[in-house]
Amino acid sequence: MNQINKKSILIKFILIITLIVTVENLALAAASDYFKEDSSSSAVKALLIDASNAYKRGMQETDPVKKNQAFEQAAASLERALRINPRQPTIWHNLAGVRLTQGDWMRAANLATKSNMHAGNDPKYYELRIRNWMLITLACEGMGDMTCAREARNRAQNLAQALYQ
Amino acid sequence: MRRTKTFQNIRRGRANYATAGARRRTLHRRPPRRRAFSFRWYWLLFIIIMFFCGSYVSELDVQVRAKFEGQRWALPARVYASPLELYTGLRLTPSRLSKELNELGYQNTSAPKKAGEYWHNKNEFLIITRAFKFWDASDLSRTVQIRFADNQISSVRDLSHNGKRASPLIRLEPKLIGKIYPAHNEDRILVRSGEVPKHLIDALIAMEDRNFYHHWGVSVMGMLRAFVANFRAGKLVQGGSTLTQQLVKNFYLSSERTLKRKINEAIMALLLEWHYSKDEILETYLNEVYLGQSGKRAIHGVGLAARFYFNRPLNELDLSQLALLVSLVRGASLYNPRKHPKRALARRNLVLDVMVKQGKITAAEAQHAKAMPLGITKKKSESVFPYPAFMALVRQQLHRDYNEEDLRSEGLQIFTTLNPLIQNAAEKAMENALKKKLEKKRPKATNLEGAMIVTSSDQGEILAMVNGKNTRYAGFNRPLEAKRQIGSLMKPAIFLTALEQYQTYNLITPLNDGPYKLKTKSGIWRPKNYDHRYHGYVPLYRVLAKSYNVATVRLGMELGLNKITHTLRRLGVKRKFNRLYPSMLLGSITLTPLEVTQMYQTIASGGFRVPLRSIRNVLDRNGKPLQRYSLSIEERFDAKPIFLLNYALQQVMKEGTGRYVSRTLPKELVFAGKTGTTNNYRDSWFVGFGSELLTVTWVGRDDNKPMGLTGASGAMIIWRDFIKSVHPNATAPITPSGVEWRNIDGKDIPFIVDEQMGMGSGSLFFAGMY
Repeated sequence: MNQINKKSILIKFILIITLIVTVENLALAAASDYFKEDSSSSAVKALLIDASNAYKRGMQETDPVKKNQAFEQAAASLERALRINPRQPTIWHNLAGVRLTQGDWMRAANLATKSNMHAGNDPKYYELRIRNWMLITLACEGMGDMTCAREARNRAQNLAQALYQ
Repeated sequence: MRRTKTFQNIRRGRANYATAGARRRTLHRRPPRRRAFSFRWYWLLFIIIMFFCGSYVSELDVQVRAKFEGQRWALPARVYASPLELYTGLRLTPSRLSKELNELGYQNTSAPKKAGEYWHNKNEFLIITRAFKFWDASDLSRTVQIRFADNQISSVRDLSHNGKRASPLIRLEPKLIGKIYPAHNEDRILVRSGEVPKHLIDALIAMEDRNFYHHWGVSVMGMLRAFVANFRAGKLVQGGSTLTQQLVKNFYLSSERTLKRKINEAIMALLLEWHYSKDEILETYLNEVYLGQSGKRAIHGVGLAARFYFNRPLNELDLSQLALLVSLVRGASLYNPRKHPKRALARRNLVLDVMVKQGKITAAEAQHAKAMPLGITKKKSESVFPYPAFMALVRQQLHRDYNEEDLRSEGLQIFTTLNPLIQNAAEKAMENALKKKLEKKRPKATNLEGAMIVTSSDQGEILAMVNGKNTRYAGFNRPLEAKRQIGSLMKPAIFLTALEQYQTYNLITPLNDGPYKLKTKSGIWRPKNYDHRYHGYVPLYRVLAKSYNVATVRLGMELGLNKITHTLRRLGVKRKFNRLYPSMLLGSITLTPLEVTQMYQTIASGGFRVPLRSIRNVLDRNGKPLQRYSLSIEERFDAKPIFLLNYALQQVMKEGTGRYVSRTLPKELVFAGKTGTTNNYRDSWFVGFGSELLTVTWVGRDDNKPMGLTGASGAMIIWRDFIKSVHPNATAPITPSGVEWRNIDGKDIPFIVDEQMGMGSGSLFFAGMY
């Protein structure tokens, strides 16, 4: 029981931080002047904010049905954003986060892997990739697959070392 | 239940009261006598008659309430395309936007004032959008200004919030693309009494039942007036029925004209008025009334009639249009404005005159309305739907979760993935290319048919589905049902199997395309290349790009048929193959275009299996969310070998079988593709994908006779025309970590350098999934 609680707190922490950070990052990217204002991302940004709000609502909700509705709402906004920009790794990551929170481990891990695929080797997304591997670690733990969890954690650590050294 | 009880109590109460009243009167008139009771035979008769009358009335009462309180009508399911989302940066031309708006029934005016109107001048639009309830949000009506530059939306501004605010995203309401009708083809769009324009109610009451708000369901005065009017005219010019009686007649009773029916009608009208408010009765009337016919389909209710005649929602109609709807109440076919415009106009103006006479509108208003043309759309809106092939797929997917009865009667709202702009471009490309280009190319190329499926590369949403060159006709559904040999479309499965063994194979591994024979059960097989030549040792990627058969068969036999079948499974091909033959390496297996799409979807999405979806979500008749079909993906292949395969498929377009056709496409677009041709040119296939769209195209004859076209000279031409018209995003795939580019003989070629294969390559949490 205690362990589950701990895990869910950890999950909450990671996801809220991630959502906030990514929304801010996007806002920054759009505002920075060296980057020609790519306004199509403003539509994506608005949808990410919608998703983030729905997600927060879901976290606070105690009624399981309404909780699930709020998470699906978040997922729907993210899928809508993907229709506008299917290659934005942040959107895939957030979708993975929503599924992880719902305990849909397999789907969460797959979505995070997809996010990593679109992140490629771009230094801009190093941090996002670390998050993705952490998310996969949690998903593997959720599935009770410790081998997979260990491997994913190693990947996260290797990336983090490469980034902060 | 509760209601019934209350009602019985009320009745009992009234009965008690009546008895008490009678007793009081008795007391007053006659002094009490010693003899308490004296029997009179007619009392018994009276009681017996009252008993039968009472039970008859209560029987009718049960009928009246049961139907009124239950689900009043079977409503067809309504199927919608995906909505057009407008945001800065969207590739769209002004003419396409105005076409889209017109199809949604928006009116082009110089000064838009209400929802459903817009103004357009060259590169600028001012649109007042309609409110619409989607799965995820209720979008309100908004006034937006949209500007275009270089066939892109350059700005979207929301003017409804006082100041001019940049708005990131505006969604138009989705286009209706189909309905699933109830058994008797009844069709209606329910309206609530609060949404009905006042003019409509005024006109209806003025024409049909001016005492509606004052009578109890039956109007003696009305009947007398009608009798006098008819007597004077010497024919039937006026009906004496109240609206309530008319409703009873249509709603509960058959159309026979007997005295018994007339009596029933009157009793039921009284009962209806007793139980329900005027508003409830009027609302039901407005939804029940018969207002037209479209083939087998009966047009019921003012909501649907507004769509049917004007292609607009009821609340957007003006006085003249509302008067026309009311004029149809008396004879939908007699005053049919499409068939008898003059008669309809006269009747409409009569309605307006009567409204003036009864003080419902001013003479000036009537004058203005009379000056308006009928304003009927030529096309019977919501009658014929243009995408039967796609609808068949939607129904197939719906049947997994809903039974036929619910689909036909519950008024479900089904939101699909179909993108009308892409669908129309695909249809046009198919029709033009087949009729004007391909059928004239080869003498054998007659009676060509085709199929095309377009999906979103990463999400697997089916955006378009084209069936043959006459796409409006339902019939043999080629995208879903035409099982055809796939030819060289098979090859990527073989090369992917090789590239996964990255320690043995890379893109420049030399493969032997020299003479080759192999023993099979039916004798010795010597595979041949299309050019009937052998090419010696050729780098792996070029074998795929040039689609060399001999080297491919040799590679496939080296890898083993079992492994390749396993790769097919992982790619998403579910069809069972009883036995494995070497000829399957050259595509002797048969698949439908939809199955081919599912197979290539896994490649286009970077190694993730994405179930193809045609439905996004379902709402009930009141807009309450029922179900959402969410995006689900499953990693089936590591990103690295998929990236290498994708590179080889790009070479198809640059130096391989697709080079001639792809030369005519804009250079900045990066596509991967594969041509497929089967024995004696029976099938012409092309699969092409970029970062946004995956397209599978097939051309052939329904009778499977040779038609002389290869993948590149047939299907690929259609694809090329389609791409030119929609100009999708097509950027190079992102190089995954673990892949490095090296320059080999002046050509940059990717190699797998990371020893660690992906988490999802079947090694860890996805093991044993397929």
